[in-house]
Amino acid sequence: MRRSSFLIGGAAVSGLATLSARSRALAQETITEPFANGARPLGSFPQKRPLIVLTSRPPQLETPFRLFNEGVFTPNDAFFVRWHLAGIPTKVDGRAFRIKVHGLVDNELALSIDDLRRGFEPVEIPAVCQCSGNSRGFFNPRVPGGQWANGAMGNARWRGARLGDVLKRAGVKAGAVQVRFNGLEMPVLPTTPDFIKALDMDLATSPDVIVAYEMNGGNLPLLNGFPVRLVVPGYFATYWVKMLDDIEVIAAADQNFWMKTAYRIPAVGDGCIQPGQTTPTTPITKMRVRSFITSLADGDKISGGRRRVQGIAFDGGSGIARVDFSSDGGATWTQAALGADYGKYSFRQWSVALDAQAGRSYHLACRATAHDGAVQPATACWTPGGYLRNIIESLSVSAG
Amino acid sequence: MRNTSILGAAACAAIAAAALAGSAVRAAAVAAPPNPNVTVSVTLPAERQLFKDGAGADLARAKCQICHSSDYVFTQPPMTRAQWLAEVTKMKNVYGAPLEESQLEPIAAYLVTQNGKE
Repeated sequence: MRRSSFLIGGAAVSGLATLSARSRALAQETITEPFANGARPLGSFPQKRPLIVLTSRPPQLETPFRLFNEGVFTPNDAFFVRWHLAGIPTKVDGRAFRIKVHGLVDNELALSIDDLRRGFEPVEIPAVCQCSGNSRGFFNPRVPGGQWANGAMGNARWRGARLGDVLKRAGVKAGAVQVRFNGLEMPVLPTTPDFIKALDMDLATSPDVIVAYEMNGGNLPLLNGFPVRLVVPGYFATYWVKMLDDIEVIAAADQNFWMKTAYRIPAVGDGCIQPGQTTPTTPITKMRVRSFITSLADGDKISGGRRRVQGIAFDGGSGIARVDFSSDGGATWTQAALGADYGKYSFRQWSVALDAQAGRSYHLACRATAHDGAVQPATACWTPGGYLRNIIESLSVSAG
Repeated sequence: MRNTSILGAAACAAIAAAALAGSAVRAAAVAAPPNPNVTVSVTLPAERQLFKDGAGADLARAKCQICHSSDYVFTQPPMTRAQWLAEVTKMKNVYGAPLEESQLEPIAAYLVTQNGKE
């Protein structure tokens, strides 16, 4: 993991100086990610604290990485934002909102949010929502697309009704192959493909996929999909359709642009290829195991002595089995202590003691192992879409 | 929060609490009690115009910014003329941008002047 440096009025500052300066110079604050064209303003968007503005229309907002050290759950007002199309309603009436369930069903439904809350067993699932393109800015060679650093992810407690229960209420007919999801997000031009996603029937009816009307015990912020979004734990956020108002059971695999052409990964081996190689592709699915140090950033100066280093880890739904930590660039590893277990889809915090000697520099790294046996690799995965990065992250600090 | 207009007592309470806390970080701890039976109305901040004057600027502003803000261009890595031409062509062919064939090269050439490399 490389540090995001903070520039205020053109001068680089760091650490505590940054935090105290933040309140004075918020409007001018820029974060510069460690890749070309990495300068980003912090911006004020509705229902959000200042977030890193990747693009303003449609809004793509990144969570400043230091916030991941504040707790295992990402506050709603700090949660990253990613829309594809600029036709986003800025006014949504939660009372009038209806989710249409149609297609290959016995009974078409038009569910209000109250119908969802009162008519179905509520389920609450802590789960990481991570943009498929999280960390795309670190790709080498670079690829076009949203140039995120590592903050296009967040962990929340999602509460809602099981999609499977909703589909059972509608009665799925024989011949159903996929369920297709659409939300209020609309293209500006009729010639632009509407944002529509689909899940295979067995995934759509699995017990952990929910239509969520609560996020961390509150309403979803509008920019995160108020009043409801699909939550597909373990899967990349592209499937977590926001402002979900249309659920359609279909008889063949969806052929829309956002399934057939976009959000695809190489269909060879582990999906990682050499730049320039062309392969058949397949839709992106589950997230890969990742871990980050959150209590320190690259370039930090620390005091000598014993200190606690902490971080987070997650994967695509098997859960984190262990996290190992290195203070010598990966030559030797120590097993970190894992924090409270909020379930297999959640961030898992970890911590470890570091004995720092004044005058020395340390190359810190963390490596997570998931319950399915997957381990973070030492070399970076490259994909044409800028997806699937999960290399062992590292950073350097010096003790003074 | 100055750009926010939210109807609904619960949401207003949360914003008031955040204001009292006097800190954007403190606001995190305050979640409105779940009440989806409200109308949420927001105002999104104005976008920044980053396309500088020059040959092709009017065309880029008129076409690219139909669908997205100009920061889409400036947050990309610096790209060659061929790479920008591929992007502009994708906007026409994949995303349905109303571009004439004759407009692809001039826009690509302009984008190289804004965020290009050899």
